[in-house]
Amino acid sequence: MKILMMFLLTTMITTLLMTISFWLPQTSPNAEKMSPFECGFDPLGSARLPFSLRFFLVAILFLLFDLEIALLLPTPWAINNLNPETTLLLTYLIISILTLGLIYEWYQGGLEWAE
Amino acid sequence: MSYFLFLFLLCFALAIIGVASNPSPFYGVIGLVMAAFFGCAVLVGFGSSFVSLVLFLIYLGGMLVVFVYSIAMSAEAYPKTWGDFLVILYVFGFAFLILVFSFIFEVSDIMGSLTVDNVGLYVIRMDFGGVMLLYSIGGPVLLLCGFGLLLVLFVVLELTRGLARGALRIV
Amino acid sequence: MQNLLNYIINPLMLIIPILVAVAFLTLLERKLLGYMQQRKGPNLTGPMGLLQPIADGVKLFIKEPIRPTSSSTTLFIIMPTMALMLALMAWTPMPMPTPMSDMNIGLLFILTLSSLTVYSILWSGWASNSKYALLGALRAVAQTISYEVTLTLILLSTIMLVGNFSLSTLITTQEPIWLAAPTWPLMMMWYISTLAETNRAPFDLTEGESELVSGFNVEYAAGPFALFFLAEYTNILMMNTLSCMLFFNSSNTQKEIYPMLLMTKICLLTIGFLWVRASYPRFRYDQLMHLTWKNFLPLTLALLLWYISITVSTASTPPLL
Repeated sequence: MKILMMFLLTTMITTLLMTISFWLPQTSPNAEKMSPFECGFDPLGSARLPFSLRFFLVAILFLLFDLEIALLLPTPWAINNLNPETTLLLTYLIISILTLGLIYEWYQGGLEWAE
Repeated sequence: MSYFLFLFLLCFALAIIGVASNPSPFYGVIGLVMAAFFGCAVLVGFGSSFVSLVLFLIYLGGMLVVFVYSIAMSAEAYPKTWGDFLVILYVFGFAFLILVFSFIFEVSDIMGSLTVDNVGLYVIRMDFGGVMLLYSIGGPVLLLCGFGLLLVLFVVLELTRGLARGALRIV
Repeated sequence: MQNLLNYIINPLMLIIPILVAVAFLTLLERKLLGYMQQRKGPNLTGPMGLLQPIADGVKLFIKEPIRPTSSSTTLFIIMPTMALMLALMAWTPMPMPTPMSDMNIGLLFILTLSSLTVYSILWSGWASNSKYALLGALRAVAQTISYEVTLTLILLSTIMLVGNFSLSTLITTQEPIWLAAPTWPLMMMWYISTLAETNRAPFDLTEGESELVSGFNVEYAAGPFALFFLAEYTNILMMNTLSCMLFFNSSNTQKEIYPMLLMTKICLLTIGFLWVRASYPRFRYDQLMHLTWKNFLPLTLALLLWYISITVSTASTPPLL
């Protein structure tokens, strides 16, 4: 309930700030101000970039690691199982699968100037 | 509390309509974000907070980010928005479909307000106990998930091999 | 009356001081950067420049906002709102020493909100309909999501010593000794990862003026820019609060002095952030990526193995609470 009230209040306050910033000042729009910024020139070409594979690869890598971290998230509770050796073994296996993936990626050059 | 559940379910249905009638993948993703948000809120209302937060973190904070990322790089410059007439037609069509199905399958009495771990000294909710089992009895499932992720990694690397010889290339 | 106090005044008493703190943090940053560069910061508005944040706020809210011919005006306007909203929501589970809302998975809540901040960058860059904004947004998102991986892994390693994801348990864990003592390599990597996560120098490629002219918020004018700015500084304060709670927490036996001690440590860590900004040049993008994927990630994985093994094999797992 408090979380909900916090959510509502933050939304209200930020919306209030945005409303003030859009309705308080006087605007005098002209074409120069409204066009996208490109150091004073008119925009050269479309606003879309060619598809960059390196960024996509970084995003996919992040997704995979995020999912494996989600698999590791229950460990603070799982440590208190009846047999913590099983938990430990499974955790080792998951982390080594993760590391194997990272090593393979590294050697195949997927992280090369992974920029 | 059941009022909130009802409200969140209603918003969930509206967001799903938004996803189904989207004029471009970009706006469909916005509908998906809303649908996931309200779906997770419904899950919290039914008592499983950990699963809901993990869903939020991974689905919204991982998978949809990658989706939006890829779309931002590749979609068209001026997509149709939700103001177009055809899109509004789709919206009403799907809303009508949902109403029809809700009359056919008479759903009632799904709003409980007590969960299994409502009475007594429960600091560990029921879904924490559930995911604990993933590490003892559910070990094989865990390893299956891990291998699935490794497989996806191999597939992605093959698809983008050498940055020029795979199926996806740098333009 | 009880409801009014609990549900309206309590959240407001959390939000308003945070916003005031953020405003004066901007002044602190400018003065500190100035003195480190052998000059004084702003000292004309008010005594020692103390009214500068108010002047800044007034200026930003009376300047003309621009609604460019963008591909989606709705998204363009909603994104700064969402950024500030998420940054403020993250303070809900922070125990100082009693939290606004004592969640038993408070840490995951904060992580989730940081993941959602990525959207505000991405959509504001896309909706600006400008190549530079989009490029800046893509680079910023790639940086943020890369450092989120190490952030989560470091958190997981530390939580092995604590027992659950609740933030109040951290206070109990650190009664005998700060968690910085057993986990100091993780603490150093955590500090650097929070620097990268909040797009802060030397990881501030997204706002690198020499390269991208302000990156994803190039099309934002006055008020919305102020909101992005506020959201960034709120994130800085929130990350530093989290660092203090994770590694340098105080004891809970004297509730009156706990906030003072906590705030002093947060101030010291934030001054560290500002000091780092004054001292180091900007990273190149591939150096940034190399750092997280090839340096931090293997180390954090190994340390995660270490912390899990040590606690189980010496039979010193924290209690299941």
